[in-house]
Amino acid sequence: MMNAMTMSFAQKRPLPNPSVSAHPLLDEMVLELPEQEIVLSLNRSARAVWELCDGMRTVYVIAQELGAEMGGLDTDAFDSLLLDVETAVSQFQQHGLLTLET
Amino acid sequence: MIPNNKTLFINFQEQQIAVQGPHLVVDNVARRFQVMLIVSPTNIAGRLVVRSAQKGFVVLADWLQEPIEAGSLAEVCQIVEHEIALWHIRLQSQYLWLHAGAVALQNKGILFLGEWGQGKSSLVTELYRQNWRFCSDDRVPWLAAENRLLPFPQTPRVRRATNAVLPRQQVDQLARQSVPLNPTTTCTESVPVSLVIALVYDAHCSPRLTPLPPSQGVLAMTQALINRERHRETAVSHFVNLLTRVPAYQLTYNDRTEAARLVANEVRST
Repeated sequence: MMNAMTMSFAQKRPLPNPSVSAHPLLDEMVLELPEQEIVLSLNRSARAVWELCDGMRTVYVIAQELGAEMGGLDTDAFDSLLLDVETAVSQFQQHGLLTLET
Repeated sequence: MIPNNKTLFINFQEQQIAVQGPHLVVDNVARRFQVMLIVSPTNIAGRLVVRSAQKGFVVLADWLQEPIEAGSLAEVCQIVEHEIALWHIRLQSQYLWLHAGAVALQNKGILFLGEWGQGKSSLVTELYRQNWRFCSDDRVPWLAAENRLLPFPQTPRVRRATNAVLPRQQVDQLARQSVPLNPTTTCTESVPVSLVIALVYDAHCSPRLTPLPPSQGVLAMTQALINRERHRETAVSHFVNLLTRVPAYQLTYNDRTEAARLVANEVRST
């Protein structure tokens, strides 16, 4: 089950940095912040997370939607998915690709 | 009195750089640009002069704000070679210049990406020995809009093979041997990039060629881009476009002959 700390992160709304250029590449994606010379490659899973980051959905909702696409998950599997989504969002944030809105 | 100076002209895309200096220096530089030399210049786009000095040599060039001093013959040759390549890159900045090696087989260009010490020169010259056409072992100009790579055929120099993993300083000290190029088997025209291969030298790993996720290929190409300032806005889009259409692989290897065989098999089956 989620602890309070995870819950707080899960309630944030990832908002993409408008300067990011997203380049779809087959089922992957390349994100670019030209001014900072940051280029990041996303595999299919990370791309799915990125595409749901719109400043409206919370991290938790993103995980819920991805879980639903997988046909529904039990609690443990969902917690694991949520952790993966948080990790991806956190890395996006560290690279300046998005901000976390409350 | 015997004149001490000699001049040569290094040509790329109908633009020449004139290099003048002591015979010893100019002859060494000539060997590094052997198949890029021309006798009668048509469009000299830069001049570089080497002068003997009290403590070695001084390099002057149209594009240098300050002279560069060098203490030894090896050092001055390295500086001159570097400056010539850089000036050609600036003159022909419409190309995306990649720190890469390249060879061609028929009308297929193979691009080898790899950081310093991953064996670009070794692998490219191994394929050249097997009758592939040599394009470059270090710098590759690429015309993105048409997906054409151009030859920039400096004479490759390869390190003596070793099966040990060495720190950079020791790798630097390994003897390097020039591999003279035959102008008739050196690529002279542009070819499309048909395969992108990221090299990883691993002394403990027998050669294997594995598909590289295209987005990783884009990263490798971005890291290899030399004139990124000039192409900052568009480079990634070009790389994405290329790797949507062209396969990328990672070649992990410890034996260049076996690695070359793997590459040859892959290219022939593509």
